[in-house]
Amino acid sequence: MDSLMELSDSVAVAQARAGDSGAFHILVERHSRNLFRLAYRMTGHQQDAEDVVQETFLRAYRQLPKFDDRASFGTWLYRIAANCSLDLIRARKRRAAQTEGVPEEGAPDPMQSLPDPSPAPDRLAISGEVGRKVAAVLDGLSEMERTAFVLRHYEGMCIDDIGHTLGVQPNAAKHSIFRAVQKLRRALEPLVSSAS
Amino acid sequence: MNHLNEEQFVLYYYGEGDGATAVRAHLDSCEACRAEYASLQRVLNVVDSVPVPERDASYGTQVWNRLQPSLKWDRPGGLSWWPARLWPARHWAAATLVATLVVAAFLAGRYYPKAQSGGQTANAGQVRERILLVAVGDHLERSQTVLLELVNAQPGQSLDVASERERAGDLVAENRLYRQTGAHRRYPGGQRVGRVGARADGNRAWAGSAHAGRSGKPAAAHRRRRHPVQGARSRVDDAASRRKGRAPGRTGHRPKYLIGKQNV
Repeated sequence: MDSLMELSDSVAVAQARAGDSGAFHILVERHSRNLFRLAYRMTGHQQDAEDVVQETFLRAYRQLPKFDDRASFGTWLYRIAANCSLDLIRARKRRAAQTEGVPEEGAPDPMQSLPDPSPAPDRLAISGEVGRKVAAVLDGLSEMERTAFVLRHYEGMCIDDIGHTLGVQPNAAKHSIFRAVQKLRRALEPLVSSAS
Repeated sequence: MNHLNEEQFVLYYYGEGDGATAVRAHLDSCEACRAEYASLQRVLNVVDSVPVPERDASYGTQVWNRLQPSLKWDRPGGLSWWPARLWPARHWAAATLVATLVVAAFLAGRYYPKAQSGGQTANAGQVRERILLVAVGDHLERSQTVLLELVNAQPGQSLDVASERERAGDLVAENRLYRQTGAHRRYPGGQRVGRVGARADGNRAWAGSAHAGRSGKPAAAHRRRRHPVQGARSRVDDAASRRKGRAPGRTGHRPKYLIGKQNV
């Protein structure tokens, strides 16, 4: 296993394609934590982030034969994780929209499917008002703005790659980042100014 | 100089865009923009400071343990419904090879006859030309026979030329037909045939023969010179030789008759 750990991503991918489960295990070990971080930034929830990581590796496994060897495996995984996160956020929004309708008699209490208004345990870990404010602003961004901003700001991905990941023109990705920064500034500037 | 806009600040902060040097220079010289940029930096640094719950070193193993039951390593990336054990990869390779051969055979069958039919068209043209040359050669040979019979008749002796007259009439009609065909086809051999037909002396000879009386005496002029029909015949033979790749005049076909006093 130690010798396997030294494998580069491309070699591990090739061996995993050939049916070597150990090589895929290496890839999972190597990228899980980074994917969790990205998924958490995207979803804002620990459990959702865990699900995204799981789903990302499952999709990667299924699509392994389609992976282009010339690309970076890490970037490819990030793209899958971003899409999984977006799918999850959309599903969450759909569920929330459904609960806004008039409940039928005998139907389960829609309040049970609503997101818990109280801060999740992981949110409690974010100390202070700034942390909560940032989380709230990020939650208020559109899918595109949030994904583009997370990939640019936290993951350091260049705008061209973000456009490629999101399936949009680089210009659209760039404007999504601008809008996200504007919203963050508008919400956080008074707080930051008063603190300084 | 104009102040920098927010987009320029954001791109500069993330190190994107090509105007970094100009933005830096402007920030050095413009206090308002420097303050604006500092404000942006503070906000984005605060965003950066939001913690993410960390996962320990064993997180990868935990993920793997949850993931492993869902992965089927006898067919990585394969379709879950396909019975891979019944149809392994080498069978796929063989099936692909067979399919490729079938497609190649189909394409070969589809396109090969086209090429061949093109060749057949070319051959058909050559065959038509050869048939025409043979027919014209035969026509000229029969013409030559009729004329030689007339030419070689004993002078002063009465001769029944009824049959020759009839054949001469047919030959005049044929000669016209060959002339028209040769002129219409416009290939080298055909043009030669056309010229043969176009030669007035050939037609005149036939006209003379065809319109002679039932019995008559051969014209003395025809005795002493090589008859135009024989010259045309040899030109047609030359054309046929060239088609066969032989040197003109060496057709192997020698005239059966010599004109005039050189009877053989």
